[in-house]
Amino acid sequence: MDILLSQLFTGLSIGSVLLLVALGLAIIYGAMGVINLAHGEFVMLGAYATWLLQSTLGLSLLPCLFLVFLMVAAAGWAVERTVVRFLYRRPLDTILATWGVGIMLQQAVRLAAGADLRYVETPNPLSGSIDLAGVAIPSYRLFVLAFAAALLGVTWFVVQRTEFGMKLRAVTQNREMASCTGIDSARVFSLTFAFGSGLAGLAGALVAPIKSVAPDMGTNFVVDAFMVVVVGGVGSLFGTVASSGLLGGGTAGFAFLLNDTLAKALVFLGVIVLVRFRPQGLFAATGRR
Amino acid sequence: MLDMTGVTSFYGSSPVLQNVSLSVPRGAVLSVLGRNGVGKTTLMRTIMGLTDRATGGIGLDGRDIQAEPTHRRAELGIAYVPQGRGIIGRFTIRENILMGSFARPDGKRAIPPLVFELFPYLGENLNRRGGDLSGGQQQQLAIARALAANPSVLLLDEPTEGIQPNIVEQIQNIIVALNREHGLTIVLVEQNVRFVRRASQRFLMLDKGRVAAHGDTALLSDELVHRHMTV
Ligand SMILES: Nc1ncnc2c1ncn2[C@@H]1O[C@H](COP(=O)(O)OP(=O)(O)OP(=O)(O)O)[C@@H](O)[C@H]1O
Ligand SMILES: [Mg+2]
Repeated sequence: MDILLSQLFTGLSIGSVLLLVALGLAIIYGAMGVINLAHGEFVMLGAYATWLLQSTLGLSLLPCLFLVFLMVAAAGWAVERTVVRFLYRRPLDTILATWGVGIMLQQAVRLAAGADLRYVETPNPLSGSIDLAGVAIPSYRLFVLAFAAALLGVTWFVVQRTEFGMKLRAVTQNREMASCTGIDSARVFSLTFAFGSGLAGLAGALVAPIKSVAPDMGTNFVVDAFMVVVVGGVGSLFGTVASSGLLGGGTAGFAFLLNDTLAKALVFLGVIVLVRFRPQGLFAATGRR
Repeated sequence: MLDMTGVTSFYGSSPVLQNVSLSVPRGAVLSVLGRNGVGKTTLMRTIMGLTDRATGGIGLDGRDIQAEPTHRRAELGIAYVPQGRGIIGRFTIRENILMGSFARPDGKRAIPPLVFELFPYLGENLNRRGGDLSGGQQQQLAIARALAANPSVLLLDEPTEGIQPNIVEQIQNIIVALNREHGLTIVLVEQNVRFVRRASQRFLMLDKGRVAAHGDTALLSDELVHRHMTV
């Protein structure tokens, strides 16, 4: 029972980081149809940015977060302005181009920071654990869960309740008509790309103390996040949330019963079966357009 | 107010509109006529900057807007009610109308009182989804959205196409009122010659992407209509 609870908790915290990565990916794909294969590298950049801020300025993780968001968002903005925006009408080229950008980012970081693993410290107040129904839950994992939930709330608010979000939804549904009502769709796309990248960067900052920081750490994230988006269904915030929980929990559960590798394989198999029978995902946005 | 000089407009490499010139004085209604597929919608889209490429000059209030992107043209005061109405299906009526106000340079985001006055149905159903409305209601909504921009020029592409006869007259009256009582300059694509004669001071007849005739509506003879509009 105790082990189950602690596994459940591990699953939830894996799921919540996954959610942040997938959220950015889903927003970018949903809004502009761009499959961003460099998304994992923004996670990696977030982790390195945290490491850099910590090792040079001695900042602890918490004050880093806001800066990391801005730094990675700026990187995303630059990638959108210089590469992605020229490819909006060519989906296949976008995939190739973002893949290339991802590799370049990886190599750039490898050159600048070295190929060694880097470590980020868990902030002091969060290094202990909390007793929950007799089970010791690491406080940092609780923090990650709460922070991801808060960011989900912020994202929902931005998309559904702000003027920027309304412009984004308008551009998503009818780009031409949106521009006929004075909406600068190019600007909306740049900012959306920056926001999604910033979220990925935050995910990177959050996992930095749990996992080691390496130039190729983004690859796994992007694969898992894609599975989340595919399972959840495009255009559904709720779907992204539910399927992050499902995949995070599933991976943790199988890993507990079997082992990590087999768990990954089983989850992957499950996703393939699901996509075969429900290609639109579990919670695809419905309704007349 | 709005002028085009020698405009040629392309989809891909084909010049759909060729060497079109026109001029709409402030406060006037210009009607654009012609058979299906002659380029009437393309003319409207060219004014909004939505075709792939256009050459020639387009001026608004004496200012050249040919190089401006679509959203800037909207901000400069041109509002567009497209042929398919362009309603955002998943937006509520309120959101669809407010969307129009994004083009207001003063940053004001509100549904103008005129909209409630002209379209009481919309005012009473602000939370209904645009996609659930009938064709006539969507047309009203598209006009309401355009008005929310507080525009100086209104482009209306076949506003009564595919709409129940009893609502057609209501929409026609609203168009006339927008011009005469509220001073809007209007470019109207319209197949109904009787309404063209009633509503507009100027006309422009298109044929195969070129201007076949233009001038005062008094000069729009049955013979002209017969020559360029019967199939
Ligand atoms: N997006 C497009 N890409 C390529 N060609 C187009 C496009 N839109 C229109 N055309 C072509 O341009 C020509 C003019 O079309 P347009 O829609 O302007 O005609 P129209 O006068 O508005 O017709 P209708 O009375 O049917 O609305 C047609 O031959 C059409 O096939
Ligand atoms: Mg047309």
